[in-house]
Amino acid sequence: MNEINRHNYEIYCMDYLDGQLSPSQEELLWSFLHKNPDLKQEMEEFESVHIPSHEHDQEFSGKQQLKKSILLDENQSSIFDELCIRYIEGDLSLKEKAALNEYLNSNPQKAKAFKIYKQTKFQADLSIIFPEKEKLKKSGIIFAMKRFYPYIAVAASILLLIAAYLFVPQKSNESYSTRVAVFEALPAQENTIQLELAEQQVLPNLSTPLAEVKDYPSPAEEKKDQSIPSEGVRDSESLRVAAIDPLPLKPIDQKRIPLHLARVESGITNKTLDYFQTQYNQEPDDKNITSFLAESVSERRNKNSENDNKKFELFDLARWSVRGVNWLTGSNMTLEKQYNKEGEAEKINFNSKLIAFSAPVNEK
Amino acid sequence: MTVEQYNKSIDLYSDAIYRFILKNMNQPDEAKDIVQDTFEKLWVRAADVSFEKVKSYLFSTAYHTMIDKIRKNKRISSVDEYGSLDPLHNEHYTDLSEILNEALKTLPDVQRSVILLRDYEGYSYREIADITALSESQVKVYIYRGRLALKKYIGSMEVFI
Repeated sequence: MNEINRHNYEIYCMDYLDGQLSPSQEELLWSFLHKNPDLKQEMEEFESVHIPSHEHDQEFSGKQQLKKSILLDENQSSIFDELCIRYIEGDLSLKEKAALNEYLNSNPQKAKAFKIYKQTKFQADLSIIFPEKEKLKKSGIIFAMKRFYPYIAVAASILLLIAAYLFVPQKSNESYSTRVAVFEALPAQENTIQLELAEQQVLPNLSTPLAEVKDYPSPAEEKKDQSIPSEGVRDSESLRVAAIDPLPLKPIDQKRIPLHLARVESGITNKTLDYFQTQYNQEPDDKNITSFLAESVSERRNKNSENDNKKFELFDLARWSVRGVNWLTGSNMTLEKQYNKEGEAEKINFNSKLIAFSAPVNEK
Repeated sequence: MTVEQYNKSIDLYSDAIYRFILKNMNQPDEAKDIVQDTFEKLWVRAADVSFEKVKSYLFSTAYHTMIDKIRKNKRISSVDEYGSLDPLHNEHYTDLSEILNEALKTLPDVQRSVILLRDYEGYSYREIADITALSESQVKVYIYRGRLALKKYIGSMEVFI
């Protein structure tokens, strides 16, 4: 610390008056002042003008007015409505609840508004019940069938396609509808007509009359004859009939048919499968859609004979159907099961030119 | 979900869903249809919905089915068929619950739904947001506006009680 002299004594005097000097510094200051009486008098004059802090006994009266109410937001807008709604919703803190209660006690008008807010809370009317519960309930059997819905849907769709192919008349040259013969009516006393083939290339091996028919024109033909005569056909003496090839039936070789039909669960009877087996035993040249299905059934039955525990599934039927459509239309659709690492079926994948989808297999 | 759990969910929640839809639509037949549709949808998806979440699934499905139906009905109905929403034009009421029900009818669909989900089922804002496909903030705002409108309606009707 510097020595006190007449050039720096004011600093020490000010620090003394502010109570900033240590006792040793105060002692040094007073010894200096004693040596300089003029400065001591000046110091005493300073002390007389010192204002003690306890004389500030007057407080600002507007404190409370300046404080912000909990019922005002930062924009000084009333949030009374918000607090009421939050109270109803149970979102108020204890402090906010206390403030709101205090506010309501001092504002009867607001208390009335608060009461109305409390009335906006709804109570459920328990006397209202749904009258048709029993109709909604399901049985376990239906629930168990649910997992077969995708298979059933696929099988049904594909069977419809097959049925449409089989029963809707085709316009191809080789379809049955074009195998038409024109019969020339014979004299009435003989009561027969001579068959004349209209298209020899359709039935090349037909050398004798296939049928003997009476000359009864169909109503449609009759109408046609009345309006526009067909070219190349004699007007009143011609008649069209369809000549259908009979399918050659051969005796069934029973030894070739492994019979494990008791396990079949899809509604296909033994009789049906035997019929398919019969078709399967035909000559290859004679195979048609029936023989195709017979081949599929036979393959399945052979598989079943190798693994007696494996059951006949709707999925097999669906897969047969897809193969059948491929066989009939020359398309390349596939329906396959996708297996996971544990060997359990995970998904069913269907692929075709136009559409492809994948459906999860739910075994639960 | 098993068939037993499905049937149990009918016992547990069909009444609550029916009440919720009925209060929203005020048409018992429509409400029945919606409850049936809702449970049929649950049946179709029974394998995917767990029993623990079935209540939320049912309310959500019922809510969205109802909104679709309301929108369809509004397209069909003429605006003139709606009554005035001015409470002063209504009949005199003697019961607060009647006033409250009338007030409820005046609310927009979404406000009515969120308030009923809150009051009837005690759902949290988050749960209501999930059911109605709104955000949590939107739910709070709709509840706030709905309560404000109800308070205004009831306040104006108290004079006539």
